[in-house]
Formats: sequence, C-alpha cells, structure tokens
Amino acid sequence: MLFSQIGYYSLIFGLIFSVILISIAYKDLFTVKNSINSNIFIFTSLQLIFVFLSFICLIISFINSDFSNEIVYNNSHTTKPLFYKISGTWGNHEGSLLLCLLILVLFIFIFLITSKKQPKKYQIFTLLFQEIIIVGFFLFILLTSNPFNHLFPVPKQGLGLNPILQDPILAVHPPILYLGYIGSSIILSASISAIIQNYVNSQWAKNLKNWVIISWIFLTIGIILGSIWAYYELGWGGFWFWDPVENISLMPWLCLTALIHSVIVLEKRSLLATWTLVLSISSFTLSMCGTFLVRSGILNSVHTFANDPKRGVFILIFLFLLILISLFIFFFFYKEKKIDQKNFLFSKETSILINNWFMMYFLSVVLIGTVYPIFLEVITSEKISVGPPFITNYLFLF
Amino acid sequence: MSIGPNIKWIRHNFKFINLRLILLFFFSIFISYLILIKSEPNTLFVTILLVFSIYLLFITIRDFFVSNQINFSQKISHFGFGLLTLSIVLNGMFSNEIITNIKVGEKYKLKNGSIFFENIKSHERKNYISIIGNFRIKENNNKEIFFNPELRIFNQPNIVTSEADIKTNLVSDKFLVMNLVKGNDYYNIRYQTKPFMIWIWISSILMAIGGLTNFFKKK
Repeated sequence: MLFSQIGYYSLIFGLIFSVILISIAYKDLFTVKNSINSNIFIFTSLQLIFVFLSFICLIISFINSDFSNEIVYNNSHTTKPLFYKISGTWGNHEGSLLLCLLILVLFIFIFLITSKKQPKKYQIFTLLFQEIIIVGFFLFILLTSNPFNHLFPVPKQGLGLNPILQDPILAVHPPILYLGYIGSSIILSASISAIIQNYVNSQWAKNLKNWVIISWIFLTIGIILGSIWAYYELGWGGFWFWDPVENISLMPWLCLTALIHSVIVLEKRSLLATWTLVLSISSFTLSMCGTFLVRSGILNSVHTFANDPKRGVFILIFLFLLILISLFIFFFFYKEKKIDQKNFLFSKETSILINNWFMMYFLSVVLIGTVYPIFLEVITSEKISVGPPFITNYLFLF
Repeated sequence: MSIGPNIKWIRHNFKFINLRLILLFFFSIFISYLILIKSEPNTLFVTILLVFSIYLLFITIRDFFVSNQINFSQKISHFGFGLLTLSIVLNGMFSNEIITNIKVGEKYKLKNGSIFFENIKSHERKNYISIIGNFRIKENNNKEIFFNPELRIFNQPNIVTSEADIKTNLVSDKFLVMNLVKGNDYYNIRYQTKPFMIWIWISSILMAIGGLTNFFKKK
C-alpha cells in the first residue's frame, strides 16, 4: 500500500514537472541565448526520475502481491512465479500505459542529451510537442486508468494473470513493441518542430534517421516475438493470421520502413521532404490508432484489456487533437523548398519512391482490411470478418 | 529492391542491366520451376512471388561480394527481407496439416506412416497442473519422432492452455499440439509439417540486425 501511494504521488509530481517544463520551454523560446535553459535538463531528468519511481513502485506492488492495489488484485496471484509477477506489471491496461509513459519521458530525455548540436528552437519545439503528448498520457492515466487504485477491504488473494500471457516471450514482447510504437512519438515531435522552424533539410534528416531506425528495430523485434509466441502458444501452428491486432502493429512498421527510405533520400539528395514529413506524422498516428482500437474494446483479442468506453472516448479525443494539430501545422507552416535538381527516371531516388508507393499500397490494404469491418458494423450493424483471403488477394495484386 | 540499391543517385546509365543480372533472373526462373514441379499446383501469384523472392535473394547475396556501393547494414536488411519472403512463400507452398481426434493407446494412420498416442502423464506445478501427452510418429522412412505436447490447467483463473511440442531443424518444423475434447476421452490433435519456419525467424532477426549495424558503421 505504501508503494502504491508513493507511485501515485510520483505520477502527480511527474505531471507537475511536465507542466513546469512546458512553461520553461515556452519562455526559453524568446531568450537570445544559443543553448537551451539548463532548467529544462533538470526538469526533464526529474520528470523521468518520478515516472520511473512510479513504475518501480508498481513492480514492487506486484512482487509483494499487494492486493490492496486494484490492478495487482486483478492480474496477479501469490502462486505466480516471480518472473510473471514482474511481467504482470505491463500485462494489463493501466500498467502498460505507465510503461508507455516511461518510454515517452525516457525518449525525450535521450533526445535532449543527444541533440545538443541541433538548433535551439528545434530542440525546444520538439520538447514542447513531446510534452503535449506526455501530458495527454499523464491525464489519461490519472483520469481513466490509474494503476494505483486502492481496494478496501484488502482481498487475501488475487485473480491471477491470464495464463496465455504467462510465457517468457510474451513477458518481453510488450515492452519491446512499445519502444517501437512510442519511439515514433519523437519522430512526430521532431517533424512538427522541423516544420515550424523550417528546418526540413539533410542535416535534420541525418538526426531523424537514427530515431526512425531505433523505432523500426524495436517494432520489428516486437512483431517477431509476438509471431513466435502465437506460433507455439495459440495452438493453430501459424505465425501470422492477419488478425486486426497483428495488422495494427504491421501498419506503423510499413510506415516506418517507407520512412527509413525517404529519410535517406532527404539526407543524401534533399528530396522527398513531404514524403518524410507525412510518413513521420502517420507513423505515430497509426500507433495511436492501434492503441485506440485495442484499448477501447472495439477489437476483441488477447490484447484487449478492458471494454471501457470512457477510455475509448479519451483516446479518440486525444488522437483527434493530435492529428488535427499535426495536420494544421503541416498544411499552414510547411514551406516546400524548391530544389533546382533534375530527377531522372533511372536513379536511386526514383527506385525508393517506387518502393514507397508499394509500401503505401500495402498499408492501405491492411488499413482497409482492419477498419472496414468496424465501420460496416457501426453503419449497418452487419458483422463481417476480414481475414487472410481478403488481405492476401489484394496485398499481392502485383 | 533487387535493382534499386545498385543504382546511383541522380542518374544511372541503362548499361547497368548487364548480362549477369539477366542471367541471374533466368536462373531464378529455372530454380522456381524446379520447386514448382515438386509442389501442388499454385496460383500465378505464388509463382511470381517465388521467382522474385529467389531473384532478390540471389541479388542480395551477390551484393555481399560485389557491390561496394551499398552499406553493410542495408545489405543485411535487404538479404533478410529476401530470405523472409522466400521462406514465407516456401512455407505456404509445402506446409501440411493433419487434424484428428484420438484417445490414449490409439493409432492414427497417415499417408506414409502413423501417429501413436502412447500415454499421458500429469504433474503438479507451482500454479497449474501439467498434462503431458506422449506421441510416437512414424514417417515413411520408418524414422520415429517422439512428441510431448502439454496441456496446462490453471486454477486461478480457471483456464486450460495448450503448449505445442515443436521439433525444429534447418529444413522444417514438426509441430504437434493437443486439446481437450469436452465430454469424452478423446483429445484433438493437430500435426503439422512447416518448412523453413526457422528461416522466417532468422531472416526477420537479420533485418533488425541490419538496422542495428547502422549505428556501428564508420561515420
């Protein structure tokens, strides 16, 4: 119970530091100093420390089988092996969101440390946009998905973790996948910042490329682990079933794969800037759409932790605002530079462009296959299932 | 993906399409043909995918030895992708599956062998009861393979999960899983042969390693 209290108040402090950070960063935009305010580093570190502390407290609550904590009660049991007690921390909706928040604050911390050579205002705008996402996650957790809800009287025994989640691969699959999903937030923030600062150039692309590759690596490994688990655990002997939840992880992967190629062209040839920006915005948006579809209970699978419409509405509003702000900035602030270079049909950049078209086609098919049944059900109440035949027929038209 | 990485930035001369690339393409068609005659009839799409995946694999292997223009991380990732595509295609073409209900002591006849359900053993674990089935599968070359799929009966929450027993080698996976059939002594079993499964995992990991090596290359 003590750890739950510490965890909860650490979250509150984390939120306060985020708000302070936004205010300091905003003020720092108008100072003439070349380097960013040192307080920004201090508060980013504090924000990270407190979210980390909160996460550690939740892990300890799981290890101690503290059933006064609602999610420990719902997802743990005293007989569970220690490894699965720990992995149970992110094997539920609330804990996994806290893990996402930890990744968000960790990534902005690493970004600030590794981007000191980048223009000051670019760093600050990236921080500001990332902090907006972070505050959104803080509010979501504290208002709808608090991992430190208290139970009284304290139950003597927990309900246990879903047994199919009690697997070594599945214990590490979510954190790795989240590193991929949430890692793309920094790509979005950096892109919005670059648009505002008119900094969409080869130097920016060089910096962004590392973040894109990091997210892509984690997403790739996360998807592989999920597939391996499905292969031996779900008992049907397949590794990919075009299940909506699988599709949701594939969409940002396709987007990031196209983005890796675009960002290389932008770095080497200062071309495909618009592609790079649109793909950067889409990567995180698709990750968030996935979160919305899974967490709202619209899609039913092992990943659907709870059917809570309140959570769905929150994510939907958050997602809508995020897309709206991103598109507004893209359409109203982005000034496409006219580059006086001839483009030839037989060149590496053209082959990458063709690759991107393929990726976008694949993405569209998977997206339609995933959301079409949802829209159809909303509009006509007709339930259909779009499975492997649809996807494979349209995916491989070529 | 086969040609793109070898093309230069800005403008490339058409002469790059040299005889070797064309020969490799025809060689890929020939190899695909050899594979296709060994398999059941396939759609045009599978045929095209097979040819192109073999071609991509050949080109990416060639790039390791020939091309200095492509960086190492890109070579690894593209090779991984080529291998992944080929493994998935071959897996789809040559996989086979048998589903049946069988009880302890019974034998199920296969086309070229048999599945014998020898016995089951139960073990008490920390948070579940483990039921392990012993299966002996005889295949056409009279080679015997033993499988031990498991059922886990959890009491908190009360759920039964099935753990497949998978025998993996470089060419194929043999996969056997059993499930309870409610109300009688029979167990539902699913026996599959899945070619090149391990290569699907290896190739995906190679793609990720390709991305990772990007951080270690000389600036």
